[in-house]
Amino acid sequence: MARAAMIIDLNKCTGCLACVEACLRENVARYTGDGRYVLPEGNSVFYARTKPVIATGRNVYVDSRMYFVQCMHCDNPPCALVCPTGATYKTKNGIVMLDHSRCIGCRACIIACPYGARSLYRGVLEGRPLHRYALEPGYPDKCTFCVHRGSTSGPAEWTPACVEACAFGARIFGDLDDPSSLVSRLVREGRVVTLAPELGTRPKLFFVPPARSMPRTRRG
Amino acid sequence: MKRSWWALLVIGIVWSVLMGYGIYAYQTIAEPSPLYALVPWGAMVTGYVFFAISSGGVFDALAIRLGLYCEEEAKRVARKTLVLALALLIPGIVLVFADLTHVEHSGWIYAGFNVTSRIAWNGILYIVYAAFLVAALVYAIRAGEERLTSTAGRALLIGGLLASLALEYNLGSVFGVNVAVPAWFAAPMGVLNIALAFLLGAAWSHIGLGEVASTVTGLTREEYRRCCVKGVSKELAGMAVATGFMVAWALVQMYSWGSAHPALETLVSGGLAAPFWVGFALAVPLAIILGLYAHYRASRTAILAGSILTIVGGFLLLHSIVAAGQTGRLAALQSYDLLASHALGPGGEAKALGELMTNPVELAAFIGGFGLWLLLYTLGLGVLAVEPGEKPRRLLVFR
Repeated sequence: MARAAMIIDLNKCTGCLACVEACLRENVARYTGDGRYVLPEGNSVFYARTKPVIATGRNVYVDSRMYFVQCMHCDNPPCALVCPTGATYKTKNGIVMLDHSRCIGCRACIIACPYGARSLYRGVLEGRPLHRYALEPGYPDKCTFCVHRGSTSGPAEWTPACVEACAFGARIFGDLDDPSSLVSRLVREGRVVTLAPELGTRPKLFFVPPARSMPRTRRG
Repeated sequence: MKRSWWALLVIGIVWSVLMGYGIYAYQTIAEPSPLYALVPWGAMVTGYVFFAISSGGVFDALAIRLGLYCEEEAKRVARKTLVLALALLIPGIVLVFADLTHVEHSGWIYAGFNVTSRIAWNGILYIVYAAFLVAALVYAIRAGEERLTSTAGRALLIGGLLASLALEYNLGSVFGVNVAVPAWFAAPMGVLNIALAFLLGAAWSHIGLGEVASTVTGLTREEYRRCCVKGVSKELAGMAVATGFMVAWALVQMYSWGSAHPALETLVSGGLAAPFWVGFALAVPLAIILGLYAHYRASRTAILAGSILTIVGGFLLLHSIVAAGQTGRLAALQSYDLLASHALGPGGEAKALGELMTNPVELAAFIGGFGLWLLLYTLGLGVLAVEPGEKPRRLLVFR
């Protein structure tokens, strides 16, 4: 069984936001047909599926000021638990997805997510979405690990747009259940942390904290 | 028909237009705002809970009086009370659907039923409660209110009572269930909702029977005073005590659980302190005082004032708690805090509170719900065979 997961190495991340731009281009922007791409009105970055955040102090989990908020693809996703229609569900390879055709827009998933990973765009977007899992107005949007580039049941062998765009290799995507994958190795070696593990959601988005925090992380 | 009946009907129609406007405006929003994701549950969500538990509270009291205690006095107002409960439930159901951003998919609540979702269970419980309510009303009209204390009548009333209690509890627990952050809106929300349902039920019973029905139907004020004032005022005062106790329990729990502190602070001394304490004062101490006064003096003025203040206070109390849970997490969960400060800039909490408390579109839909209630209730009193002993002449239940 495959379990797709991602690691963001905060030692390597320079904060260039190429990942955010790539996500917007891949999942949020729409093509109008006349050579133009349009983005949501207002603060477009808020509607990116990976959102950069900069804390005033260090985050207690990742020991860094800057990190990213996006769907953690939890093994125990509270958003799927509260969804009345099963529109939010987990695929065979562990990706938490939204089935637009089933979503009623009750926003319970937004309330249930403790990470703020869901956004809801209620403006108008002209043009057509670039793929079937792209942002749709009025739905609680979320990261899909760019599953349209791969499959919802097979091994996690594709490359999400944010991973592809990162020039510094700060983002790593792979199969948690494949012992030979880099993702699996880093998790096994205890070099990664997750946000708020005490909540029991078992996220599959991991962070490698800045090097200076590594000894403390290892002790933990 | 009396002129007062026509007058109330016209007021109900005009008032309902406000609801129509609110729903239309909400459904056609084309203005992006991060607030839709940061604080997604506004006045329409609290509004449908408010109408549903008001309906449940009206039904529960009747079901207990007739189904459990077989009180003869309650029979005289049984049909009208059931019409009142139904007229309150419908605006609630309308608001449920109006609040969904993709109502066209709502059939999936049943086709894709998720047993772990409280909202999915609400979808079932609404139908079960409404079915018992409609069946009890039809039975009371067809067989006569006397039969409501027969085995079949009591089965309908007690079945409806159980469904209603389950709905009230479940509606509250939607706010309480958050697996990742347990008790975010305070675990006692389910029980608080039941107490609030009885409190609101008492207030609506007086407004519906003592004011509206006694104006437009054959129920005289004297009859109402004899059959109901003491019971309704006692229920009002008693359930205000229970509501006060449950609110205190919720606050203590929020105090003891660290992550809920921002929600608690917002409620008791922050941006929501004014609506929360006003709501508390109206729905708890004032309801107790006015309820007791009305009980011992049989005062119509006191019970009317107590009922109106309880309805206003009950909504303010409920909505403050629901809003505090949402703004509280913006402060308590770092991801939300950072997203909110980036997306909303300085004064983010005030913007979030403004969205939750004063969004004109959602308020229009909710306040318009009172007009729909008045319209449906007045219509029901006029066209259904609701007088004691009255036989329906047309289509099973109509005059």
